Amino acid sequence: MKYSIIKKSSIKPSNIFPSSAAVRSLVVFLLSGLLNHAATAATPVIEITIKDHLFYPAELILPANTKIKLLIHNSDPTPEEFESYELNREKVIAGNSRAVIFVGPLKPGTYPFFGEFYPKTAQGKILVF
Amino acid sequence: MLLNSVILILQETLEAALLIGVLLAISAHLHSSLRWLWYGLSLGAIIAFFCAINMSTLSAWFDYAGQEVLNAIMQSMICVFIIVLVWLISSVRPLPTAASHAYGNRFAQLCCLIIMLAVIREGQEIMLYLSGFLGNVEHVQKVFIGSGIGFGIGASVGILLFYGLLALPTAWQKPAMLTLLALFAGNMLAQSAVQLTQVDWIAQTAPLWDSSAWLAEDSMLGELLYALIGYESRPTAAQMLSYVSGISLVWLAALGGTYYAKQQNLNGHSADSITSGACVK
Repeated sequence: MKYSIIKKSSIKPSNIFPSSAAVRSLVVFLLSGLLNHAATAATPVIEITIKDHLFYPAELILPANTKIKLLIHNSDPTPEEFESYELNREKVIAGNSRAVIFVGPLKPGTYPFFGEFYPKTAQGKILVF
Repeated sequence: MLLNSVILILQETLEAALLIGVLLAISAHLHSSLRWLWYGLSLGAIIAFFCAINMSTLSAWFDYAGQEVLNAIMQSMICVFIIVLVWLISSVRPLPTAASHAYGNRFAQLCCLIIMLAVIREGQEIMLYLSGFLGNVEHVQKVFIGSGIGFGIGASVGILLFYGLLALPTAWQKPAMLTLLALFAGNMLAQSAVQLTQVDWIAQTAPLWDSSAWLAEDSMLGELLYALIGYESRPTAAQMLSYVSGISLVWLAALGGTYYAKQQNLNGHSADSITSGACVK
């Protein structure tokens, strides 16, 4: 499976403020305590597997303005660190274990991610449309 | 593999090294004993070791938010301890020499806790990273040499900061140290917001701005500024709010401490303070 595609129509919007402005995002942050809990149930899950220091799938296509739960299985015996400057995410995943990382809501664009411990091979990207 | 190890270990070491540099400079002013450094480093390393070997269990806590929640708690605690430390060094005027044991002990305990927490956070990642290569005959040598170099560069930057601070004109030293501590506190609180956003305990919002075109976080200067002042090219509102709160709280602690010291002086309660020639004003 190279691509994981989620149609936007199949996902309930989890963020009621499609914000780009600074003030709006501040309001969203302040309200997040209330909103977050209710939104969690509707969050779609995408699974990524790390095997032989490679990401499967290495390319994810996600809808814009949607929160996604990434479920990452590290099936290598060695630890890996999922990292993305563009997504502002960084997480160590021990060997043979699972990790959860939430990404989005994101604006359309390309968001590369990589495995910091094996960056030569562990490369991937999220394409948001 | 070698270069990658250098960069990775440097990234992880830099933050703790800079923090240690500032605390050492303050410690030098107070003529405090350096026991706190060794206690902090060794306690931190031991706890980091246990965190590293139990990483997959810890990560599974709180519905797979364990790692982030623990990191956020440790980062917030570093921020709180920095605030208390700033209050402590601001509220005693003039600063006592090592002769004042109670004061020196409190200072040393706070430094020890701050260093311990910083080492746990970064140490567990370094240990996990290195553990992955232990059985790897092809790479193990390169990885350990690279890590040694990265660690050496990180430590050197910390030492450079220490001597840099002490080389400043006396009148600038205290403001410089307080400014760095305030930035560290803000940085720690902002990083804890990032951690909680990653596991959706704080809602993700659109970045306030994107300065990655001017200064990328993965550039050399970007990495240094990240460790020193918490530079982030795409900060969210939660991050900014935490950053500003951390800085403001340290600033308030410095102001409050100074005011408290003045009141004490006016009331004549500070006659027992011992004046040190080399103390921070």
